[in-house]
Amino acid sequence: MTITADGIYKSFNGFPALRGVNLSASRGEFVALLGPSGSGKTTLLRILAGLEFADSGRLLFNGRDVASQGAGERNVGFVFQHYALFKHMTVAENVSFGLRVKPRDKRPPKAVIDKQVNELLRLVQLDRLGDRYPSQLSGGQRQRVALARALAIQPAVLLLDEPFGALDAKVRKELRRWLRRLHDDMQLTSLFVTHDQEEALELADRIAVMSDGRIEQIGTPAEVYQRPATAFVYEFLGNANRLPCRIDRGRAMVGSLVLPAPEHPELRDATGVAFVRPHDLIIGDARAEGLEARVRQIFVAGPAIRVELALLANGEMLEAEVPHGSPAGELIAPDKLVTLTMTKIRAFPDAATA
Amino acid sequence: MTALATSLSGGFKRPSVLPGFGLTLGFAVAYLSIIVLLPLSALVLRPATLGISGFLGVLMDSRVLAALRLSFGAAFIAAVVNAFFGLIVAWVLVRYDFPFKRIVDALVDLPFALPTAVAGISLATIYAPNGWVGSLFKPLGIEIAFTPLGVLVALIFIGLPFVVRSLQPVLQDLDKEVEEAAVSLGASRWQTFRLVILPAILPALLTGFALAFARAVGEYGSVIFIAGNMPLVSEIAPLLIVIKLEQFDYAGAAAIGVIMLAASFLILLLINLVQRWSRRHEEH
Repeated sequence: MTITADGIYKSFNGFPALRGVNLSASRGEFVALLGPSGSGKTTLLRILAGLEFADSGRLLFNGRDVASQGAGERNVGFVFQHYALFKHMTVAENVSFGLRVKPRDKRPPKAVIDKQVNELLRLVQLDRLGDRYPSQLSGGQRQRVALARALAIQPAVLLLDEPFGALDAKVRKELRRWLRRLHDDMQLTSLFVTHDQEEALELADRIAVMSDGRIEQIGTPAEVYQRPATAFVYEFLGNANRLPCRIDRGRAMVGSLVLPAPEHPELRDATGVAFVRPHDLIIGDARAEGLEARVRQIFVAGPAIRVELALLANGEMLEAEVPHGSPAGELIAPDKLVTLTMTKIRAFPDAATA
Repeated sequence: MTALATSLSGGFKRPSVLPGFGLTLGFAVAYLSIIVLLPLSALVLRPATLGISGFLGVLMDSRVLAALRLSFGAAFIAAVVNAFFGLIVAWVLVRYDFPFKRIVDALVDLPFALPTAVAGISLATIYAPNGWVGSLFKPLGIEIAFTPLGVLVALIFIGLPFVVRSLQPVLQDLDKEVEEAAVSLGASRWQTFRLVILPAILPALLTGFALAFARAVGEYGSVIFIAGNMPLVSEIAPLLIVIKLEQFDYAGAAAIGVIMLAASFLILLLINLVQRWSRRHEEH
């Protein structure tokens, strides 16, 4: 199933939630809609599911216009953030619901339904819990019931709204990998909404980064992470330090440092912002060339030493990461004066950051 | 010391972070005894002076039987009607926005607040053969006021708020996503209502039903004005009790009271059991 959304616009009581979104997902793809809360990602997912209807724009499933079809006709599996299980039904009854409500002439016989439910429960590793009620299950188990229930109707598309949002970190990680395998094994077309960049980067084939009702960038995890199209995407994916700069003929001037900014060969002396990731910030001796800064805090726990620094020029706080045991580690101590240089920055002129 | 105290109380009182178990339980038992049990036991003891045969004599009297049948029968039908239409009223009030919704919402409580005699007289006036509503039914050969049908109308009137008010908070708390899940799984509107919404609100619906029923069984004020009070036809049991009291037949009045009490208790117990069954998935 290929999905194409074309110029989707939606507002709630005059407040625009989606302002012209274009998105496509091809068969077998796992697409993440990533963005902060209020960016419209859940609205987009609900429009795809038919739980919400766009004010304008086209929505095609396999080239067929489904914009006027209701949720029940689209054959879409939807997994809600808070599971939305039927509390008064057992796990098996929940999973079989989509089969039991089919019109009589399309409804499989009871024996077939039972068999399919058992297979699905085995698939989500809940085979012995069919007689339990949702209230007797853990969060991760409930989420898997919700997934099995959505898969029971053999959906062409699987849509998941913050599928791991309500789970603790360890369960979330396990369930994430398991879901990816399931997606591949069943050759589903899946879209999921998340605000967790790590989740999107790990799980998705492609990521659509959303902000303020628009898609800022769509691409593979490597593309959006390494070549963010806008300042928003850069800041949203991973930690980033912001430094004011001037951009001129493919170079960015950050204080006394001149750095390459090959994306902007045409700009002449424009103001902008340079972003630098904490691990691209290099701490040097106080006498070396660079931006002067004072060490504020040092956090040694974790895979690398994290250092908080204040720029002498304007007091701006920056975050740097230094590998354990590197020579720079010798230089840092609380309140010590150091200089900063950077290997890699990404500069955006101000118009784009506004 | 604490362990000893716990073991001495036989596991009845478990260590708990919820304070005040002993105090509140003691108060609740004492309060219920004084307010409910004491008068009821006096009621139960009073007919004892009749002896078993005297008691059965009162019960087997055809006038008493007819009154009891009318009281319980009409109360049951009224509660069923209220459960159905009360659900619709509650549904509309919770689910939709419309002009004057708050006023309509407040109207629901009026049968509570109105003095029952006022309600009875108003109902009798409009349902009488020459009243606004009664005159519409008269050409069809249906008389409402001063017949058992009138009793039913009064009981429906006073029972409505119980169903609506029991259902409203539950309908309000229904998870919208659960309905959306049902719809996206292909359920029709009716299937969604029958399989997803109704089971969720059934306990509250039964509560409303039981309250409306209990109120209707004991209702006196509004009924006697519209019922016509013909013995064997439209005379309700509470009225018969008053009549017996006026004849200084205290033991006979108490005997009917005891029978009503027992029957009501059994029916409410039964409804409670059904309710418990409808909540079976919550008991974990």
